[in-house]
Amino acid sequence: MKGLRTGLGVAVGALGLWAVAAVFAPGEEAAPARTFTSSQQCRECHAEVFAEWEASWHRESWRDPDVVALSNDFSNTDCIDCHAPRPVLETGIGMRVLPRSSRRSEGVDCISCHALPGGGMAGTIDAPAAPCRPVATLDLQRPEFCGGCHDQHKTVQQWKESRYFEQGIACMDCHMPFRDGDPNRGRDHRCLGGHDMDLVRSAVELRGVREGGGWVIEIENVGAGHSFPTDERSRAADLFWRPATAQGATPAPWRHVYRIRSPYRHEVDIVDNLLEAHETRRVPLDQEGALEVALFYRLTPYYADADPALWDPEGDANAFLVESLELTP
Amino acid sequence: MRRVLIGAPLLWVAACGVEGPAARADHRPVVAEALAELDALLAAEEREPPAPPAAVEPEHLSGLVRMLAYSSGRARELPLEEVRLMGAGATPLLAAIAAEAGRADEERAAACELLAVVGGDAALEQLLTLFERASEGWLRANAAYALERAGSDWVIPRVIARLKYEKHPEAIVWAASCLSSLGNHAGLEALWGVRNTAGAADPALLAAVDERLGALAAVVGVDQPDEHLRLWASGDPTGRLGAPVPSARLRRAAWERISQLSGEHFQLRGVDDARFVLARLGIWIVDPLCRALGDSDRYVRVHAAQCLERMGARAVSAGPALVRALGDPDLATEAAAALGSVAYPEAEPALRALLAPRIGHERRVAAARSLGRLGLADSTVALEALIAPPEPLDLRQAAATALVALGAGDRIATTLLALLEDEAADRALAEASVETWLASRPDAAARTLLERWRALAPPPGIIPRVEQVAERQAARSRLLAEALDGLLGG
Repeated sequence: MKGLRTGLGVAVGALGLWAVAAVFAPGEEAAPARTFTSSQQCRECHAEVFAEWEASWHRESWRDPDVVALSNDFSNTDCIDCHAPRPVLETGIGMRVLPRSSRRSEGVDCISCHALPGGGMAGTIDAPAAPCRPVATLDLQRPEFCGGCHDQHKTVQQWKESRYFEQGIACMDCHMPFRDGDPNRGRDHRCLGGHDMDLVRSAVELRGVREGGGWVIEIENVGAGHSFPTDERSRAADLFWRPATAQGATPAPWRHVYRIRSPYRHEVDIVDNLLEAHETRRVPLDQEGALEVALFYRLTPYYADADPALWDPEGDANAFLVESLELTP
Repeated sequence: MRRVLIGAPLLWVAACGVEGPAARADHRPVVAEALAELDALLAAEEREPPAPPAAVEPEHLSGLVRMLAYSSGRARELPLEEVRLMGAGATPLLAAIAAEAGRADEERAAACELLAVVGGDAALEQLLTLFERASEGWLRANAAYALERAGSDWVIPRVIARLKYEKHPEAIVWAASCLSSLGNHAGLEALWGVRNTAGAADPALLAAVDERLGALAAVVGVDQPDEHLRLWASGDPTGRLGAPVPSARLRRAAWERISQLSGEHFQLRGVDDARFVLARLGIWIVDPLCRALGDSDRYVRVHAAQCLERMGARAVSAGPALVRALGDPDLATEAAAALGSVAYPEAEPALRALLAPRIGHERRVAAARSLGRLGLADSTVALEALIAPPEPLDLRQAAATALVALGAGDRIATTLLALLEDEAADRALAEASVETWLASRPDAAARTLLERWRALAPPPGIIPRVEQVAERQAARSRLLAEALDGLLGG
């Protein structure tokens, strides 16, 4: 019996030593595989990408003060699904996102987009020797990849109904372009979008057309591959006018004409009138003389705006002037 | 020595192996089965088809609506009785009158009242549609009032769902009242919200809300309205609110919401609504949700656990099912989170076991948070072992936050300061933890620091900018750093 126990001990010990040796023996230039529990770990090798992400709104998705306030510090736990999602490749492309429990303060981070279900990271090349074991994954480029969160307000659907879809121009072409246009330099991980005013300004064009003694203001979606604005319901564009200001005189207050936005769920009497891709919206303005029109855009929620006519866009630090025109008969 | 030789490799093999109990292999299409069961039950209950509705003369019914709208006292009884006798035949015209924007408000309100008198599925459906879709808040309030009078519990999920978005104070008052009358007190929170916001600036509204709160509390035999809310939120451990038995139709409506959790639905909106509703149904919903933990759809399992988590102490009876769910790899994180929220102390050893390094990071973090919520001293040593590197930062922070909840704030105060200063940490969470710790200390030094700490918060209703948040956190870091030695008696 004693011999049997000794034999068993030796066998199990040998098995263990063999397993240890197999794991820790020097491989073919393989760096040790790492377990990733924070996107901070990615910084060591991917400093440029990390810096871009750190300056991005994906990074802010958990700690943006507007989100914190609106979610009541995430006591509205519905918000967690998109603001701290589990890795998209784990839940599945085209599937609804699921919330995660760890590293929530990192928001939509490296791991959310790149972690593979069985370990390793999705990337643009296969590099089994690298610590994060990247695997070339074309799925990263699919609009449905972003859609788990960004199609919750139908942005991907809006794109699919546009000409850009037919032309094969997708999310990354505008929101994650190659750095300096050079594919060898990789993609810009700032993921610029509705917070970037240059991009917003490139989306629409404002024109004044004389008709029947008055003006018709045309707002055209010339650059967004989806509706303008899109995604968050809090985003809206407002058209204002005021009489032309004589030189040296104080400008008259802006007067509200028209609002473009998607209603909140409780607003049962508001029609969704987002400006679709390629669409031109005509807004008649019953004014004959010289005047100034302006399109303002605001990201922050409209909960407090009971009456947009009373809103002073120039007095609001959160309002951005998209475009203005001086119209003379 | 021989034991070491044998044991070490086995321990190593174990450490590299499974993360916890093996996955459950008994997942079933629970939701589909439950819906089929209830459909069969409801079909059996409705063996006799309802009699065809009697023909209704539109002018006559319109006259009855006007009579009810502009009369009082006993004169109201005639139209009420006559429409009751008309039955379901009156429903389409009454619904049309209630929805007619050009008609007098009094007549539209009277049509709502008469729909409640008619009762039956079709009339209630019309009232629910008005409550959900009418653009006029006063009309939604009247529809809610009528639903209360109709007294059918299957409307509860839809009333709760609409209450999630309702902004009109009067509609909130009557929706909450409707729910309470049907044995569901989930509307009380919204009612108190109206009292403390819109009511603060409107004495008439405040009086109306207080009258409703008092009346609803009296119905369940509770003297104080705030006690009524506390009883509901705590799961009513003494049973003072009673336990209404849900009808088969209500149970079917609940399972319909559970089916909305499925991964077959892409839009989160329906999922959000379902989670909101399910977490606010009566304690009876705990059993269906526990059953849903075994559904073959992973999304249903995960979100069912989340609903139990959101129910808090009202779902404490789900404790054993949630402990079993720790063995489901898809579900373990949510089950761990829910066990803390439902406050099931018997789960402490199982949660503590999830802190082991071999367990996945998500589960370790969820377990650490839940141990903080349970607040049992038994967890202290295990949590203290996690607050230093090389443990991952957010696990350290989850453990530190939990230790503050366990009353060990003094021992980890320097860790809290380090988290507050660490750009990579959740600094807002660190702020909250420090505030909790300071508030827990009875000494004057802590109270003084707490006052200075709170003075740095933005004024109520003001949303700070990103830079202002960073400035506040830096200022609080300095404040704590300066005071820490004194607070710890160093």
